[in-house]
Amino acid sequence: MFFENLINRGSLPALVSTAAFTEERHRMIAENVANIGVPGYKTRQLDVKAFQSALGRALDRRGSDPRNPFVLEGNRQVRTNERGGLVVTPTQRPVENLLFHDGTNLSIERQMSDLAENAMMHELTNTLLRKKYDGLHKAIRGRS
Amino acid sequence: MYGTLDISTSALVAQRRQLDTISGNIANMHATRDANGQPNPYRRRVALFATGDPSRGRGAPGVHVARIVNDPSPCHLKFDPDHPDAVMAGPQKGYVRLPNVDLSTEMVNALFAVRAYEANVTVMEITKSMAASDLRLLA
Amino acid sequence: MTTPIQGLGGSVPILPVPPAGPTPAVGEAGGKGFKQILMDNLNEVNRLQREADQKVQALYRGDTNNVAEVFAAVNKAGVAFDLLMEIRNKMVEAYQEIQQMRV
Repeated sequence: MFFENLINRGSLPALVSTAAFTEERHRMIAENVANIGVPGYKTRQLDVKAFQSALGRALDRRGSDPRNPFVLEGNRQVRTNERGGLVVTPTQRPVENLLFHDGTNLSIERQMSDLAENAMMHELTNTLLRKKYDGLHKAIRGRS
Repeated sequence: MYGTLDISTSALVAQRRQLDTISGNIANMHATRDANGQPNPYRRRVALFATGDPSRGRGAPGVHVARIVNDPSPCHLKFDPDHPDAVMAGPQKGYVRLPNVDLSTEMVNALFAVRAYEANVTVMEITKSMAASDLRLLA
Repeated sequence: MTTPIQGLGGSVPILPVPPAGPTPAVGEAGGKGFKQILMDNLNEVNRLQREADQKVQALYRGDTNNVAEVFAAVNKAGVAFDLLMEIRNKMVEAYQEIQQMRV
């Protein structure tokens, strides 16, 4: 309980959740790219904006008291399970104005750009996490 | 992270098989006789893709070549009465039956397969760098 | 007639210059006292850390897209914290040195 109070402070749970989310989203994009050329395959997607608003709601619900749990819910695509892990349910990307003769709606360009943006977000999150953990270590050890 | 590498690998394998099929088609596009020397023109082969990777178990994500089938479309006909395999009698007399392979179609398909292959290689590179970045959190 | 020593033109001293004046917090002559200085620094660092955290949260909720601002705030808070740690360590060292002096 004491350690949980230390970890559930400030932006740390938001960073941890986002790192998990970007990893899951990367896996989903990898599956989309692997299925290039498979007839009838509809690309799957995880909405980043929806995730960010769920994150905002979870932060608000926890408030400033670290004893309140940090839980993602109310969103069809992402939620926190009983063990505190992140569960994602990708949805099929709605058909925009893109539909090829073989019934697919995959745009390589869109997937590659999503891949790059997602990877950058993941790197940024890991960097900030590293900084936070280093700060905690410094404070515990009492020297830099 | 490592399951993600498997997904991309299955795609590389499938695209490689697709390229092999296409190379076979191009190599045999003038073959009017089969392996036994009988006048039986080569038929174009097509690799059929499907989602999932059965080699890693049921329901494993990825992609695989489900089957390689013959293209049922008719052979090309070329008028060449002096050719040893020209048809002797009937409405197609004097015509040679050539494989139903069209070079430009095969080249476009090959380009598509190469692009898909490279896209999956890019995904693998990024998977590796994300895993390295996760490791740096600990070290 | 000696002129009072001014700070180097325009630069801000790292520690607040102790004003000559009313009774200090700890009984040294004419100073704010280390305790007060330390407490002020601590509050400042706390404020900077909270600010940086708020900025990070805003970024991750999608309220802002400006990563440079977030980095600047995080770095500022980090440097302030490091400075505080060093001051604290040096003070502890000085205290231990004094302790070991044979009177």
